[in-house]
Amino acid sequence: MEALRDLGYLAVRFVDDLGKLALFTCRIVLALFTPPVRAGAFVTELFKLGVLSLIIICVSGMAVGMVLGLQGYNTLVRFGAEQSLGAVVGLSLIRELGPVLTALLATGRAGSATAAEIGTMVATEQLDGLRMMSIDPIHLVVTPKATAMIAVLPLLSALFIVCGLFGGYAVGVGLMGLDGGTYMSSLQSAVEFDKDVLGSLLKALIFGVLIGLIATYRGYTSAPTSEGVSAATTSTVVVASVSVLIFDYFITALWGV
Amino acid sequence: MTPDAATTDFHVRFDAVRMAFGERVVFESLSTAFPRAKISVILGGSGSGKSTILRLIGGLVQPQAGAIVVDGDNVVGLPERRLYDVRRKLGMMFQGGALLDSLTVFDNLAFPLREHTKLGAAEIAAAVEDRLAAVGMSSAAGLLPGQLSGGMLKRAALARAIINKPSILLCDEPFSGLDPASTKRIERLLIRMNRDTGATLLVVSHHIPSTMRMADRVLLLLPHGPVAGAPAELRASSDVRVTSFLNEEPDPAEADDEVEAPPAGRAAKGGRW
Repeated sequence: MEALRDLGYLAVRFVDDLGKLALFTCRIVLALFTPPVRAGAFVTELFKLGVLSLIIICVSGMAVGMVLGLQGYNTLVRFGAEQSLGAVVGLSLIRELGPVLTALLATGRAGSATAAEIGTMVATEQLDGLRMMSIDPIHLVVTPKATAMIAVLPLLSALFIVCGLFGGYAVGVGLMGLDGGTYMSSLQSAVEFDKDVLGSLLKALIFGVLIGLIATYRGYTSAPTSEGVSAATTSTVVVASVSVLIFDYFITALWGV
Repeated sequence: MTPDAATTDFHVRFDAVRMAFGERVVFESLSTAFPRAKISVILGGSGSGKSTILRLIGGLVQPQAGAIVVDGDNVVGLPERRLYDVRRKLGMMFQGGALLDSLTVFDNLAFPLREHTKLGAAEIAAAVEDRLAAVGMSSAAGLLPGQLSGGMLKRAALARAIINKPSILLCDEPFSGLDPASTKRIERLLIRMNRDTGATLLVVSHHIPSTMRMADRVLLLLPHGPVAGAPAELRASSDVRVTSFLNEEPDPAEADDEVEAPPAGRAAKGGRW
């Protein structure tokens, strides 16, 4: 009976949280169309979330591409199909690994930082200070961060994929002795721009929306204590990562992307 | 001791306000008022709800019942957009400063002017320098809040609170953590602001000497209920709990709760209790 009660409580809390997140999203959308335009804050966030993530994205993309190249070559060579390495690496990265791994990396680096920054502003009464100056914190602080995350994730995902393709090329051609032209022509003939590349960018965009909303919401609603900031950061990473993986399945299943 | 409602012009009024955080009830039914253009000081023990009163006035927290009328507007249940209109009349100095930690002191002060006025850069700079000079912080304009001492942080927060010349200034513990000279400086600044601009000041403080010097009216939050009056009236009060508080002595009602003295043997051995 107690387990049933706990389950009910969790269900109610989940629905309550979902409703609050929906309202929070509405406030962000409303803030987007309310003057003044916070272009400066948006660009600053683009730098913090995007430019400062470049190294981790490039290095990870390269490493994943190299592993794919190695594993792909070793598997394909058994069937005498090693000339299809470009297609295997390209499709894996573009359709799946690029957007998903970029989203997980962005959650760990930029999402957690966003939640921690907003949570600290809650704990140190900076958001209340803004309210008392008749400045909406959603407008000034939250919206630029959330929209920058949405804008930056497709770009980071594209960069991750390019680095991955280069990593796969380096291993397949440089290490395994595959012909460079074969690798590139296999890649070119397998990847469709409309279906694969645009679908990949759309996936990354949706993940950006998820991470941006979850990170800002968790930070904004955190308890005004150091423990609250830490809980907001942890839950951002957990909830955003799981949401990305679940949404990835449904996007793939429903839209075939 | 409560001022006569018929003859006094109140700038802020609380009517039967009930405020609780979860199970903890801060006010069961608080009714009080703060006169216009006067300095009102709110005193009370830790957790008595002093800062909560300021946050209620600013609409940062909402009570469960009652009305809070700020300059004619009841802020209870007011939509956020309307609250922003009310808050333009208010300035609030937070206990911890609440300065934006990514901006310099200068930019923190200039920020509300850039947001809400059409002043040019030179006018904004002049206004900021004027307020910084008033709190003795001219040399700290280029520093970030993280580089300031506790006292400097408070003075910078006060400077920001008065930058828009509010008609109601809410100060949460403006004297805590300040050296005696800075305490006097802030005290004089608050009094001057009240006299020169006619602003209503609501000051939460633990600093009894400053309170008694500057207050036109004192609201004392005691466990058995609030007591309000002029400083002289409270000094002359026959209520032992009021005089004990003002004399900075323990509340006689709490004396029984004090920890018993350690056993003689342990004390004689010099052991820590």
